Amino acid sequence: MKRARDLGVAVLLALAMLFATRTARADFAEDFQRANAALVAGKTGEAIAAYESLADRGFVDPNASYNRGLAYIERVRIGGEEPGDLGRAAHGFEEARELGSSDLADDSEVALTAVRGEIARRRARSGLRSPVSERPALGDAIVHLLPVRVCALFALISSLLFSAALVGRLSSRVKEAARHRLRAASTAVLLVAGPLLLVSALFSILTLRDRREREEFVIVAANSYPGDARGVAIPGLDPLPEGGRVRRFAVQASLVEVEWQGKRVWVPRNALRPLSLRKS
Amino acid sequence: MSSILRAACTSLAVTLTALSPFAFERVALAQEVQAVADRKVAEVGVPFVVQLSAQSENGVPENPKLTAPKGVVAQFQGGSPSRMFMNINGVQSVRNSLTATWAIVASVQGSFTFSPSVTIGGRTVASNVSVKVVPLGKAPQPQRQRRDPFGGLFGQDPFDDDFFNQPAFPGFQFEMRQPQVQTDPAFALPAPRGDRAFLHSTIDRKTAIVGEQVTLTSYIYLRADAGSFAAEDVHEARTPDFIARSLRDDNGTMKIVGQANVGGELWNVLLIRKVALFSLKTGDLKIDPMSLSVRMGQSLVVREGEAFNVRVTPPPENGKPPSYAQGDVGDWTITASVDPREVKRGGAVNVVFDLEGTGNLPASIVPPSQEGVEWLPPTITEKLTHTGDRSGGKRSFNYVVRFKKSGDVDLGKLEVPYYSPSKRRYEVSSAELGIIKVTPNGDESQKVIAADDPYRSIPPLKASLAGLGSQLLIADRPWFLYAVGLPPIGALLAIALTRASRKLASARALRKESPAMKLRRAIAEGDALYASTTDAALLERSVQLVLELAIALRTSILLRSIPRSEAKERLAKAGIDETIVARLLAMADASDEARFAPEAATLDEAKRRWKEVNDLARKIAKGSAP
Repeated sequence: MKRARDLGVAVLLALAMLFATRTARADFAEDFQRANAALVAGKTGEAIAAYESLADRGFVDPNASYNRGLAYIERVRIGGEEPGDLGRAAHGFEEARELGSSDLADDSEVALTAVRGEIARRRARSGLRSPVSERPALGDAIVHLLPVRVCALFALISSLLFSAALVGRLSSRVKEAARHRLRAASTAVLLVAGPLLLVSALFSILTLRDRREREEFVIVAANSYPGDARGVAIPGLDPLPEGGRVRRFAVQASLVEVEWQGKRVWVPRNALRPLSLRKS
Repeated sequence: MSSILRAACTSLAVTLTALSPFAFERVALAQEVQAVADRKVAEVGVPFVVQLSAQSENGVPENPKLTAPKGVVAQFQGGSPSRMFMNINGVQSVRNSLTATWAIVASVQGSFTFSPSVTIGGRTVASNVSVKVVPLGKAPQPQRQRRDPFGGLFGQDPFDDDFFNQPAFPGFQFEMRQPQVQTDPAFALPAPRGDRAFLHSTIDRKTAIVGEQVTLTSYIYLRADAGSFAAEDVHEARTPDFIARSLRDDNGTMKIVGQANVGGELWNVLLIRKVALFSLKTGDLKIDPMSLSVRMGQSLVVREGEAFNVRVTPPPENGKPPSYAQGDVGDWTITASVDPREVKRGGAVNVVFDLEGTGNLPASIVPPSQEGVEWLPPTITEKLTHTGDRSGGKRSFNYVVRFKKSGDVDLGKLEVPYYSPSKRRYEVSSAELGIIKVTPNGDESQKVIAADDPYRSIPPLKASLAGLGSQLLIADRPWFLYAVGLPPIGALLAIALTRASRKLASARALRKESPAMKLRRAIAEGDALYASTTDAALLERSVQLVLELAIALRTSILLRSIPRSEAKERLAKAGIDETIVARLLAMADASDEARFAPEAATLDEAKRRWKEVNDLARKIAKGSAP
């Protein structure tokens, strides 16, 4: 009797949770459509508030991020620009590129190029020559040499080939005449698949680890001067460009340590906005 | 009434002096220096005023001084010098006057005579005035009397209501009022922070959220018998991480706010600063101490207040509105006015937002922008005040809004969220702007994206959500590493296992054919025969086989393959004792004979030989036989 009652309570709870989840999703979708409608109607302020509300509630969706970036751009375009709008737009597009499908990534890339181009022009007019986008460090460049998907696929295929070749080369249950041909073919496959497996598996593991541990930000303030751990500005360094993407190394009170122009510098936390990255 | 009387008296004085220069001379001399007090009886701790009026035609009165008796604090309020040119019956003269005032607070009762003095032409001239000081609440109400009908001639009337707000030092004022003074436990301190005078600062909270008001108050404590003093070289408290706003309309004045018991002594407490601080960021923020120099008589001492650390945290995440700007903390309302409500396309309207209330009023707002509506940068006006100890006021944002397309344009609503420290929750103040009728102006190209629009290449918005679940990469799947690693490991393992099993089988076969195994098998078979057979020849064959195998195991000599004549010598050479060799050979011979001459063989003999050879063979196999 007691067991039946417990079971009943558990089922009710599960149903309630399912209902709550579905309701929350429906709410998000509704808010997303409301934000879209506001953006289409040209009410950028309203649209931005609605997209930001989604983000603040922890809802992450590549299309919502893309549209958020677009809403900030629209506000700039219609002359209602607020400080940090371009940086926030870049953040939305970066997030969409990171999380979205390849088509969305392409669209986001186009948008990012446009936004960063405008930021670079503005900086150039202020006499700042440092680039908006940092070239990745050598280690990062090597790790991200191949697309993650290609790397993973290579690893899987080469693993299977390598295994089959191993078995083929060492198999003795074949007639003497066929054995020589099999051994030669297996050796050739081993020579190709072995190194390929090693490299692709290593890259896949490094990429996976990197993606799990990495925390990145987009700069959303127009004039954020890099400083030391006390927050004192470092002479000779340009302000970090709005819309730039930086990696976090450490956090201390209201400062975040990031790498910029090959140097570890500290910037105020409120000048940065964290990126939602794809994690397993 | 008082101004009429004053005018009449002035006219009378002018008439009298015009009639008799000699009489004027006498009056002038008689009134050269005069000290007065605003009351004859004062109370302990209640401030009163002593004023010295000096006039002279022979020199300029200057350098006013008042030495306060013990138990009395005298604060110089300032002097008002004046000069009057006179022409009486063709005789020209110049009259110089000076009015000096002191605020006095006595901390002990008794009768005091004050002798304020001035220097006129190098001569010090003083005048006495006596005041009786009685305990608090024992004095009669002071009579407001107009003792000097020519007050206008001698500077300001010390008994005017505004008298106590007069400046004392450049950049520094000392304000006196007539308070109901009582020793306030809130000002009490266990010990003084300096001799005779010190600076003491307090803050109302040590933790706050970003933008929440922290009130910093600074007092000068002055020991009751310290005498007169002056504050100089004031260094304000440095608060680089805060916006500071004064909570006093009369910032720069000192004001007695009560008496305090400090280490068992009576001290006067003067409020010098009260400031609302609004933090700009999170963290442990420092408030550096205020400092100033106090001059008492000839001595000048530096006094410093306390330093503080305020822990500033971000506002709570729970219930935070999406457009909340960090630092917007307070309680305010917003109103909006729009004028006019109808314009031609390309025209503009005026939109004014008024934010009014207490707290850290936002320095900027984000108007509800939309396509076709251009909000020009606002003009901001503000009137920051305070309500009690809460800073606040009104800040107005005046926008010119231009319309680029015609039709009924809904300007929408301005929402300014804020965190209310009194309610401990977020609130949103909002103002509806309503609809503006924008009429066409002939040029109706509504939406034109300029050719130099840097964002024209950006693809349009996405109509639906994409979701994340289906887009995980292969490498992100938990099984990915197993899928990559397991096949080669499995293949290698399988190969290793196959090889190992083959080796094991081969080793087992080799071991099966070894002399030791053969000997063991032969002994076992012989033992079985020994127990069961009746055939002596069969047992003798086992004897011979075990014998040969044992010798072969020990010496690698196959007894059957060498002539018997050499056997003795070779076995001895192989290290077997000669007697044993002899026994072995004898046993072999006997066995041969029994095998090949069955009629001579007996089962008992065969069994005896088996036991003997069995024992010997085991010893040989183990290596214990010599």
